[in-house]
Amino acid sequence: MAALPKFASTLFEEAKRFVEKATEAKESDAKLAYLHAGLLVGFAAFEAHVNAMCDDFLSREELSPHERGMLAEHSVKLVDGAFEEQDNLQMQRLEDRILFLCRRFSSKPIDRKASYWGDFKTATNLRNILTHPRNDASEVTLDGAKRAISAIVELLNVMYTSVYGKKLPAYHRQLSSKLTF
Amino acid sequence: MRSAKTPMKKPMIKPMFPPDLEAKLKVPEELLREFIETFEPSECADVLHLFVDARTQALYSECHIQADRLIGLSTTDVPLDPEDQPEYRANRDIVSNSAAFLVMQDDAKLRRTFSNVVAEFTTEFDPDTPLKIIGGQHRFQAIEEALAAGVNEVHGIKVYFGLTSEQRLDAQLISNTVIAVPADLFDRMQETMHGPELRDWCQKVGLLDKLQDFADKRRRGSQVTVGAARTFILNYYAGKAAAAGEFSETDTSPTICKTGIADADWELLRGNGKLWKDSKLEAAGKEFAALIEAQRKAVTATKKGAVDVQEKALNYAVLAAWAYTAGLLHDNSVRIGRHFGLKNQTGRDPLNAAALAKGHHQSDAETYRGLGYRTDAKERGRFVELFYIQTDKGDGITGPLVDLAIKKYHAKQAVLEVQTAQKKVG
Repeated sequence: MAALPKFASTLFEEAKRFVEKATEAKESDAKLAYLHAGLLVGFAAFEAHVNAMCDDFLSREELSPHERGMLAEHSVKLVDGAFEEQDNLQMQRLEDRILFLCRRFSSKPIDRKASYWGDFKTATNLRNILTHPRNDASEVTLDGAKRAISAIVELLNVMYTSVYGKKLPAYHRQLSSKLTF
Repeated sequence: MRSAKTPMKKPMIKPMFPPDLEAKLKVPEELLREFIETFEPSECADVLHLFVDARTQALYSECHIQADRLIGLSTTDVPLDPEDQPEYRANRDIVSNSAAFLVMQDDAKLRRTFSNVVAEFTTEFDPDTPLKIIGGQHRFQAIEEALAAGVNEVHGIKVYFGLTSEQRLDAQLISNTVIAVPADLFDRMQETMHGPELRDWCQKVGLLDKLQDFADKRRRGSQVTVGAARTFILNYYAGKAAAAGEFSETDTSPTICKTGIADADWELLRGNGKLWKDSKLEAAGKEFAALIEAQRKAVTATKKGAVDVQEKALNYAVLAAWAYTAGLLHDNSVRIGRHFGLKNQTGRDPLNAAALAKGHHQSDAETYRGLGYRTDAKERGRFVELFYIQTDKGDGITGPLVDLAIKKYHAKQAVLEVQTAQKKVG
């Protein structure tokens, strides 16, 4: 497998394993640490999956510079009266990239009223507790982390079905990890 | 049973035709008399009934013949088309290690009486053995071995008279349905019935050796099957038809010819008759035969998994996609040269099976083993992308190229799906 998708899959298995470890842990500190790890690695895995999907479509030559810029997270500048994709990082909102992918390369765009989208937004808010720690990070509970990982699985599955016409390969395992560390 | 020493009474031949066919059918009296005199069936003391298969109007009789007479005057070495293709056989090989056959052999020696050995009586070819066994060759061989062991029983025979090629093929098919006819054998029989052109073409381009027939069953390392040859040609023309469109906007998914049943696309293509004189198709066929050979030679046979790698060119996804790409590039001398040049890779096998095996996509099932093991539409489409982009530079197949081909395939499929949906909306 190309390095990026393989790494994304591995990350996701790690995230699920961390949540399993949180379930097994007796000490509350360890439990919380595993939950934090599961949540953060879960989101990293999700972004890696989205990047791998974007990477597929960068092989299309007919894309406009702005479309390429969105997929590759590159800036776009007006040069000599024409837009040109630059080799500079310009971060895009993850939600925007998801919506763009499924609008541009699928006949079934993301339904922002569907429960999977709402669950994903809730999961993002939970992740933000860790990355923008204005709130109490101890608010992350086992149940909340499980729901967040499930939301990622569901959204990824919707995206795969929408773009590739196939389920996420690991969908059938839901929250069960292949890893056993 | 009539004793061999009893003077033969001239039997009555009694046609048992349905009333609506009586006027259409002619009893081959002379042929029947010749059969009776030669084989002296048990029924010759009385009445020999002549039936018709109303489906094909083939005439036949059901009778009983002593093993010594049956074996001495019969053969299983029967051509399907004795006039135009006498060197090619319709019967499959004896499956000598089949448990059912082993039991059959033992039973015959224990005086088993067999029935429904199917044959055609004809002296038009191979007159020394006028009874041509076209069904039940396993039973026939068991009877032959039992006779050699001194067992001489009477066996039931269904004998056809005056068959046409179509009737002969039909008789072979229906008489082989007890032990199922492999789809590849069916295809071979069908193709033989239609004529020698496909076989001749394959022999000419090197996909078959001289005088070699198609495989009756697909096996690693054996010659190509009819299905493989048809798939190659069908996809060459499918690619040629797609050449007019923009590659990145065209669904370039090759197909695999139907096997075990008639394929309408193949029948149509074969019917126009021009393909046998198409020099570009012939060149593609020769190049593909050379690729098969180069792939086989590049791999050391003793290595683990070597057979699979050696035979990689004959994976149906590879074969179909290679032919499709050849058709697609038939008018592009630079790219087609690079496509044909794939066989000349040095230092590794031309198809680089190791790099193929690492080719995965994130949407692949976790059990997916890498490119080159399956033959489904996705696999075939991925190979077209790979062969096509290989002709950008002609540097051979590499890992990054495999990854790019897979990405391009999935990106194209998604874009085409959006286009289809948009067309529906209007």
